[in-house]
Amino acid sequence: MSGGNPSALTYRVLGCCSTSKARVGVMKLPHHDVDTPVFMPVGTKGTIKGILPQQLEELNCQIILGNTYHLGTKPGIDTLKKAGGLHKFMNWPRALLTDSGGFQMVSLLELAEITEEGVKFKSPYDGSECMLTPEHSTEIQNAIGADIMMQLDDVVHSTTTGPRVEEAMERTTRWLDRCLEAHSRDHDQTIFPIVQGGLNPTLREQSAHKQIQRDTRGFAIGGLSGGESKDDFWRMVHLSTDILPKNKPRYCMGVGFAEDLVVCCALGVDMYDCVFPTRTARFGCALVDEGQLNLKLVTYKNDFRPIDSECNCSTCKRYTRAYLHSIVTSETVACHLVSVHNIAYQMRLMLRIRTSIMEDKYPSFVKSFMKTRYNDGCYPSWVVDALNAVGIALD
Amino acid sequence: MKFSVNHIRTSGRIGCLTGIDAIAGQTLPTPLLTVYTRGGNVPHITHDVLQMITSENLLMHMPLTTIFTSCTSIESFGKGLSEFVGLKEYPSYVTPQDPAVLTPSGYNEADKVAIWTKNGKRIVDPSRYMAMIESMKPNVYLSLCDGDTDSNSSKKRVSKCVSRSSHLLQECYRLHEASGVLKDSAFLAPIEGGYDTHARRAFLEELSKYDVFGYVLDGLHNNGPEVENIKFISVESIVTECLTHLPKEKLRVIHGAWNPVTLLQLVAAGFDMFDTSLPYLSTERGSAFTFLFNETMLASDQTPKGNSDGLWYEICLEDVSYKEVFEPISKDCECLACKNHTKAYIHHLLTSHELLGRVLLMIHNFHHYLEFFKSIRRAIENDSLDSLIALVQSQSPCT
Repeated sequence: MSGGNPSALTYRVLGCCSTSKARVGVMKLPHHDVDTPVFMPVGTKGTIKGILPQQLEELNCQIILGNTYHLGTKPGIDTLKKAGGLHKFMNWPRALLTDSGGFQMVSLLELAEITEEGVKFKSPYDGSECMLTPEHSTEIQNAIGADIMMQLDDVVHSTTTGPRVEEAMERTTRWLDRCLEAHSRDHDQTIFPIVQGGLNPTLREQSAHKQIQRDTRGFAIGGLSGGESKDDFWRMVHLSTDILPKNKPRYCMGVGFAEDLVVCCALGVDMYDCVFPTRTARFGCALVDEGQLNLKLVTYKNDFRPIDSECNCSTCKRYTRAYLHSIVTSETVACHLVSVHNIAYQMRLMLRIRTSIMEDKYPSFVKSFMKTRYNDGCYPSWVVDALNAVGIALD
Repeated sequence: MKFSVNHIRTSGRIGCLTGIDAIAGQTLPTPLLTVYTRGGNVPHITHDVLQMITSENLLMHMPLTTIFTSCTSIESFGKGLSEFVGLKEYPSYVTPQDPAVLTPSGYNEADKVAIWTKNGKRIVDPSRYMAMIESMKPNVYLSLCDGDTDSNSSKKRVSKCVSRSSHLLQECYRLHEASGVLKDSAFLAPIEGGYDTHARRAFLEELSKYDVFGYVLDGLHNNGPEVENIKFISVESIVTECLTHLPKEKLRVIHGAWNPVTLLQLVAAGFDMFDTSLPYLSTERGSAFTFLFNETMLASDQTPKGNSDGLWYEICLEDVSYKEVFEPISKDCECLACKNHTKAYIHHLLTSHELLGRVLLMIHNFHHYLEFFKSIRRAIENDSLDSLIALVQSQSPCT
């Protein structure tokens, strides 16, 4: 069982916000020390959208994410084993996290069917019937060798209601035990259990209580960011972090919009991932505190300012909006440049969050951030409510 | 800008470009590899990655076809092309056509030239061309010209290109001389006339009227990957005819994705400037250069050359045979891609349609070609270009 080995993951809280649940910590992993709260860029197939590992280090990325389903399909587990794991295959020296593969199967494959044994699906390649069991997911993730791996969970769409939600929540815990049992590299890889329970507060609480009985080194909040209302979303996060142990990192899966990050940090979440910053870059959208700039728009044709004059990324130091506009639909370089900026934006946002928490000025950071983001003063009610719940009142 | 020839050897000549604005006090050695760009950037390579590939001074070749649609922005920007595209430390060189892309034939009209942009065909006359050049302020540029000829062109086609080009040249030259903005930009004249010796000679005669910085031998092909198949022997007589009649002290330029053997023979004939369209084309088809160009490489090399498509100078990493080859493209290569990544990883990226695959290939191919040109200059310096040609030729199946 997990828990005892200090080398695979140690987490230490360095500072807390005296108003909200926000905290700063450092999570020591076999490949890197990670400052939390942290945003983890998604490198689905062992690469992040045209960016070199050296550039990611330059951007101060400490941990990135790989997707088990995609990597297991291509290059495949045999190749990854022969390469000596994903770190070596992609030559990324810092920390990695892999998901379980289950979510992708349910969302990508129409024919997925979930039974007590695992997720049954038809291979999109040859149509043959396959089964992803908790044991199999664990075995693949052991071969990939990421610092943090996720348990296979029974994912239901976040707006599902009724007995299916409870079944999924219960099964997720049973599968957690099977994953922990099958885990063969507890000395250098950590499995995170996932709190499920849909949008039902009672089931969420039950799930959190069940999961924390397993002595693991960190926890995830799952089954959200799937189209539920923001009002439901923050409440589920809030009640989960109330139950999860304070001395272990908490990861809210699939969250990456700036306002969500700022709110969830106030609710006590430490880790995030999202494809959004790099996906939106590919479509020419650059992130700024005010929202985003769609560089395809003709507005930018003669705009000779950088994307963000406050940003010191290699894109903003050298390239203008007008130049990016001129190549945005035709050159891959445009995608690389905007991706670099968007990752830099996420990294700098997390740094600003950490710094203000350490200085115990998080509430004022949140207020000024929200003022910039919603410059008409019309804050979404969920933001107001969520922040109120942790003692931060927006003007 | 100044060009000077330092040594003329039995094969090839060595020189340098000096007095270039963007790189004050520094020189560009010839034979020079100008860097092919699209939309003002090295394909797939951002400025920060370019710094990881080389710290050399580079002349950025910016074909008008790839920057045409941003001309109004460049004009209102007002600080010139290099700075607009974020490469102000690099001098720029503009030509009307794109050496890496096949130029559609038969669209030039009257005294105007068809420029194929990303938004389709645009017709450009000398005054429009020169207005764009004035707003771009390149360090070097080629006159507007009609080089729409290749080895299959009819006599009629050749004579049309020659008469149109001489008019275009006359107009561009006049506007260049009258321009205050362009007084520091080097003006290059084309040499047209297809594969017709008489037409070439007539055009050369015409050229003697102009005091230009150098010449571009144009009209041997319509650009794009087809140029890779051209053997030196099929252009030799025209090349010799033109070069013998050119003043020795002037810069001689030739464009196109020549294969490494033909390229070396063009160097031997006495050209001073080329472009990196071949590394780009190789990258686009998922390939990495593996041809050897010095004795050290030869001594330590064990990898089989060439790919199944018969291109002897590269291997195609999309091929499934590289799926589990956990070795760099070339063990001796010092490029960032070879120092850090394996064929297996690049194969995975390419077959997964991940952008990083082309980034890594471009890094390798560009680096390989820059090193190739260093070897070329060293060989001319030592008067041993012929043995370099023999070495590269020995790897080509058609010898």
